[in-house]
Amino acid sequence: MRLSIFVAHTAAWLMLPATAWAFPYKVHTRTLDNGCELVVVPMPAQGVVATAVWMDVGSRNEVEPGRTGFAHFFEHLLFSGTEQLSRADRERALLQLGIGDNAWTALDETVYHAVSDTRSLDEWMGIQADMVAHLALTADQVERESGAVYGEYRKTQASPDFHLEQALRGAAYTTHPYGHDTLGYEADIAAMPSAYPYALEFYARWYQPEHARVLLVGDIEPEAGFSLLEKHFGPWESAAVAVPEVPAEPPQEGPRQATVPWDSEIPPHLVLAWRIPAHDPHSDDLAALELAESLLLGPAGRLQNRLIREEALALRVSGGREATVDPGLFTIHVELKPGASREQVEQIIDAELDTLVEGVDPALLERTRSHVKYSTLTRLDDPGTVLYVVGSQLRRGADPDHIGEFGERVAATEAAGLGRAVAKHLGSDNRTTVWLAHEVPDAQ
Amino acid sequence: MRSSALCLVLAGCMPHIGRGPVPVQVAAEPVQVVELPTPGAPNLYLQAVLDAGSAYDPTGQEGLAALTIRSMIEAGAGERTGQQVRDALFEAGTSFQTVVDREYASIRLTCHRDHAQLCLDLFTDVLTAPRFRDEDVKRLGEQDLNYVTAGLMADEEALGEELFHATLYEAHPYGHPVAGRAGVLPLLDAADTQRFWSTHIRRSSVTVGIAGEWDADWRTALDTELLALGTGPAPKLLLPAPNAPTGRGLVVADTSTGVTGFHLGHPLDVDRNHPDWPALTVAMTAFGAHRQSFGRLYQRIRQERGLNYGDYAYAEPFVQRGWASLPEQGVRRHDNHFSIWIRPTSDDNGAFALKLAIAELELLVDEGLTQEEFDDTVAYLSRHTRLEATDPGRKLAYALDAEVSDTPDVLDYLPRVLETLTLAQVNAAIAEHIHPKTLWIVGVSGEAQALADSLIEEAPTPIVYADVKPDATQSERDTEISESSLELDPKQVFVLSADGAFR
Repeated sequence: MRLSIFVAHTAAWLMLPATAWAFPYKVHTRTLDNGCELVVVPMPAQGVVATAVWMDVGSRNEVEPGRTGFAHFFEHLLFSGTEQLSRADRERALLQLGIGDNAWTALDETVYHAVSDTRSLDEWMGIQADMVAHLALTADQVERESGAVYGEYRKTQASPDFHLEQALRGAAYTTHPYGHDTLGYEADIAAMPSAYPYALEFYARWYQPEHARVLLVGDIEPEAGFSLLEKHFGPWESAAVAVPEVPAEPPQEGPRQATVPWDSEIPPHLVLAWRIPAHDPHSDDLAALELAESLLLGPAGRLQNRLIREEALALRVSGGREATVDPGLFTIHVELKPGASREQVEQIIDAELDTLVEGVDPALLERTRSHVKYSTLTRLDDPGTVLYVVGSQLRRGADPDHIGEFGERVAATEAAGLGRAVAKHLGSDNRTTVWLAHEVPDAQ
Repeated sequence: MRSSALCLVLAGCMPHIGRGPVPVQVAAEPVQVVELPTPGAPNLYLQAVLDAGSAYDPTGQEGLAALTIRSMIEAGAGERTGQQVRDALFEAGTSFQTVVDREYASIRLTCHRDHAQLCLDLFTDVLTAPRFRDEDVKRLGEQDLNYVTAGLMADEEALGEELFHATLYEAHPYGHPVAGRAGVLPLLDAADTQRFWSTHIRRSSVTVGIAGEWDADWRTALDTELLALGTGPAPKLLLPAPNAPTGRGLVVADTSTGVTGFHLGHPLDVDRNHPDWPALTVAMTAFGAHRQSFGRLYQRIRQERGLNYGDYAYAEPFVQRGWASLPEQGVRRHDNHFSIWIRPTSDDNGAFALKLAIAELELLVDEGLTQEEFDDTVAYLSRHTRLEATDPGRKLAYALDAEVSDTPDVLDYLPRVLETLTLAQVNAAIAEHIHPKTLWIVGVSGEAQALADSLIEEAPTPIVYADVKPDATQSERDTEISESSLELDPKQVFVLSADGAFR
């Protein structure tokens, strides 16, 4: 499964604004000699533990021509079996354990996850360690699995959101792999059946313990968890393979535009996106942009209210800040009502951004801080969600002893800091506009 | 904030659209509340299941139930305008969730315990005193209209599922999309939603569930506030028989994106109270567990031939919300069906994938599960079932499902009954309840007419491999499948335009 930008925004909102005074669980970490990082987070879970092997490789690392979508493809291939446990035997073993595992790939990571009964945990972690460390891949498996990825691509074809994301990334980036979405270009997907040699190279390059983080969250004590993980992931030997540099994206020096013509009659879509800095838990500017996301796009956000409810110009408003390892995007996505004025929508967006620059209403600011705090807290009731929050933050440089640091900064943002950050990062020079409509106006 | 005790006796503080003062004597008919105490939980979970799904839509007002439920949470309630409700929820870091299915609608609110009183007020206001402002109702109706037109056209899998329902439940209250029909949605207004609410949302048709930790005063206040709901009977559903196929019928909607996918199945006279339900659950899990790779269908179609992203089978309707892989609750129905979902493949391979799925179904019915499949699947479900609800909110939703539909809570029930289930019982249940010769087959395809023609003509439909090199056994099986006939009833083959499906 691959996460799209329009899902990832929800995810970013969920995973980052935790606050130190609010984050209720202690995060225990340990690093093995082979470089693999172990994470154990005890929480009430009644005999259940959420688990993940979190690999620091995503579509960000697809640097070679013709290999877009490969991190996601490889996510599929990793289930192909090992010398010790064929794919079929692995599936039978998981049935016996009651495990239904799955995986997802995004820009910066590939995550293999499942929820386990504590009775199954030891054996399950052994199977996971074997899977990542001892893949026995064949050319035939690569050929067959490529069809499944093509099927995943096919099921998105009718969706305007998919085509918007492709156009947005293509326009906003000239050099960095964030310029393509996680699923990849169709031509590269079509070439995957013959990619067996490259798949072996990709595995050797990225599926090394120093790129892995293994998480257990739930009904488990730290020492018991570490002991179990060390037993299974300790023997994983690192081959210390060099990995290619990710090319840096040059600064954007002016607005960009793209259009997506649509061959049937649908409401038009407008996406405005700004290139913003890479996520940094110590950045006050990014904390301010996180707050701006809630103010503008949260469930009672200013743009939700004005565009949908007050001015009746839009059917849907979404978007937000991408929390990415390299400079990402802050997006505002509007599905316009048929016949609504694009110019009017853009004017309202600009006016609301100006309001943030000039000084947001103190009462609204306070309500938004409260929203950030409680929207995080109420979601931390499930081991799977807590695992996602902790894993995402650690991937993005958070201190495990201070997992809520970024959230503290969000909650401490003052109106002046918010205004400065919006003025600095959400201006016109780093903006990309994408317009999808049945009839593309000549002016575009 | 309303004072609930006073509201019992003072007509002046009743909501904007009230039924008048609530007589004190009817407090003997409280709203049923299911409790799932979770000591120490940081959150409170409030959920209501209403006998107010889309099957209750009046003819010519399809979509009214869903519009009413969404208006209840959007258009203001009690003393608050819609904006005031949103602002209060925003500050509390939460929002209402709704699930509207064919028979039931659910309204859910999860709150941090710091906001226990606020959430009790908002939750009960929404149920007992919604405002239904016309502007809001119209706006929400426009969003529903967009979904059943552009939204479904942008999601072929959802479109296929809606068409499958429309076919299997033609002239049945389940037959139209929950969101309604494009032609009637613009006609619905606030008066319609108000009428639907006052008719259908009553003490007798509302079941509330709470999980978390609460004190006695809070609990008493909940009961008291809910007494503002109307008394008397709410309408009951009269369900005609589903549109059972007499042979194999085919409906294909023509789309333009070059992919072909299917939903197929038939009515199933087995619900969770039926003694064969556990057996059929085991059978369909082994044959095609949702989003899992061990199912037979997935193995044959995706794993061995690389034809698509996944292939699943279900002993009851399965609703998945967004990108979550766990099943949604609040979707129990009295009329059940069995179904298979073949996710999109290329137009070239659509007919082959369909034939292969049906051949596998025939094999399942003829030969049953193997002992190994049975043992593995029972082991899986015995441990896995409770992992589908790892937070109090999901556990509560399961408990409410059991309560409203008068069926066992599967989280406890299924692992328990599996201890004594036998392979013979499973295979007997398959043979008795699954009928591969009588199926509605519903597809969406970029080559709808050609697909229908080739299947009627019983022409070979060979698989087109990209790069997979099948071994001799698979090649032989491929030829056999390609040359097989679906034995469609030509009188029950329909090709239609996807664009106009729900207008």
